[in-house]
Parts: sequence; C-alpha cells; structure tokens
Amino acid sequence: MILMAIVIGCILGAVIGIYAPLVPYTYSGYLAIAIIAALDSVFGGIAATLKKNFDLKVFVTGFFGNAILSILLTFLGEKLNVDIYLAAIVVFVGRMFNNLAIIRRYYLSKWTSKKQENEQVESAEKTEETSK
Amino acid sequence: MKKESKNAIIINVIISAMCIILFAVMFMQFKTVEETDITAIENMRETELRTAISEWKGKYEEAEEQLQTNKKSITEYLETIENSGTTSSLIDKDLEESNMKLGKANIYGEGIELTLSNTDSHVIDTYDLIDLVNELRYAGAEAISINDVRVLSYTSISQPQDGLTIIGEQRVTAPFVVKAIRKPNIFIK
Repeated sequence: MILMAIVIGCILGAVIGIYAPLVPYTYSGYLAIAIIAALDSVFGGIAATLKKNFDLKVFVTGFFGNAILSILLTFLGEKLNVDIYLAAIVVFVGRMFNNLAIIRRYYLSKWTSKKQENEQVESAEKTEETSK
Repeated sequence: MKKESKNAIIINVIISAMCIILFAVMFMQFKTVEETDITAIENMRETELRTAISEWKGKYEEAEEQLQTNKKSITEYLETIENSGTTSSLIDKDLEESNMKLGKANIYGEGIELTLSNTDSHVIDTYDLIDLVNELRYAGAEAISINDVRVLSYTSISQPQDGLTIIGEQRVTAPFVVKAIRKPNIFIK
C-alpha cells in the first residue's frame, strides 16, 4: 500500500514537474539545495524504517524544515558573501552517505543471514540422510 | 481497527504528497538547468563573470591601442598637411597600394610571362594553375593574370569539367599565359 503511494506520488510529481513553468535561474540554486536537503530526509526516513524507529512527524518536519532552513542559509550566505550553501551540501551529502551505508549494511546482513540459514538447513538435511 | 486504517491512509497521503513535491521540484530543476542558457551574462556565476570581464578588458585595451595608433596617424596626416603639401602624395600612395591589392588599377612593370600548354603526357588543370599562382604569390608577385584575367586573393580558379577552366567568372582555355609583376623584379633570381 505504502509502496503504491510512493510510486503514484513519484509519477505525479514527475508529470507536474515536467509541465511546470521554468524557475528563474537565479532561484535555481536555492531549489537545488532544498532538493539535497529533502533527499537527505528521505534517506534518513528509509534508514529509520529499517531500524524500526521511523516517526512520521519527525520525517515530515525534517523534510520541510531542512529544505526551508537550507534555503534560508543559502540566502543568508549570499547576503554575507559567504558560501554557506557549501557547508549545507557537505552536511547533507555526508548524512546521505551515512544513511545509504546503514541501508546497505542492513540488506547485506539480511542476505548473509539468509544464506547461512539455507546452508544450515542443507547440512541438517544431509546429516539426516546419512543417519538413515 | 477503524482508527488504524484511518492512520494508514493519512500516512499514505502524506508520503505520496511529499513524493509529489519532491519529484515536482526535482523535475522543475532538471528542466531549468537543461533549458537555461548558462552562457548568457544574466545567468553567469561570479567567477565566470570575472573571466568574461577580464577578457573584455583585454579586448578593450587592444581596441584602445588601435584607436591611439589611428589617432596618431591622423595627427601625422594633419601635421603633414600643415607642414607641406606631401599629404596628397602620401594618400595617393596608400590609395594606389589599396587599388593594386583590390585589382582596381592596371599594373605595369617588370615581371615574368609563362606560357603553359598541354602536352600529350600532361594536361594543365586547375591544380597546376593554383599551385603556380600560390608560388608566384609567395615569391612576391604584386599582380598576377592568367590569359589577361586578373587573379586576386579572392579570385576562384575552378574546373567544372575537363578542358574548361573558370577564373573568377571568365572562361579560359589552354594555352595559359601567366603574367606576374613584381617591383623590383626578383623573379630572375
């Protein structure tokens, strides 16, 4: 059910994005940093789901909060003539890598344990056959 | 049970709404990046603008230098007018040189005359003529003509079919009489 909602949401979003008007190039930098922040939240959400401590409220607030905060920081950086957006990118991308590592390890350990279980079952079957 | 299903629907709606927002923004950004002309001045980044400005500054300085040189030559002309009547000869010389280069004036002087005729073993084609003209030009020919047709820097020599050669807009046929003038005549060397 939730997978269906995600797929429908992605397709609808893509269609809306394709037919939406162009964003002025001046603001596209803000949009890019907001996308990175949102993607960080998405990967964080997936990692939290795997750890079984996913909280929708945390996810939603993180998704919008991070995006808005990163836009504001970029705006502030532009006013101060400091590239603050670089710091935001480093943090978000670093966290994305961490979350991806968590997801990878989870599936890797799951796959390894499944393989071990299969091997154990096979060895048990073999010992049963030999005892017969 | 009812509350649980309601909660599940809310979660699904929220997550799909977030997916819609995320993907819409992502695709908008993709489209913007793809369709924006980043070479336009309005869209350039600060470093790119700096580079462009420094390039333009270099060009401006070059143009300024050229302007100063032109101004200097104008001043020289004016001074010559004031000082003596040699200006007209100076300008006449420039004009004569320009006319000579453009092929607007007839040129008389010492030079060479070659006659190229077809033989049984070799037929003169456009490539031979082009090579000869280039060689003469490298040797310093001021004026070249083939069968009394002036060959200038922009004159084309073509051969649309065998036996027919077109120089500029005129047809010429073998034998080709090539005349070249050079002052002083150094072809003999």
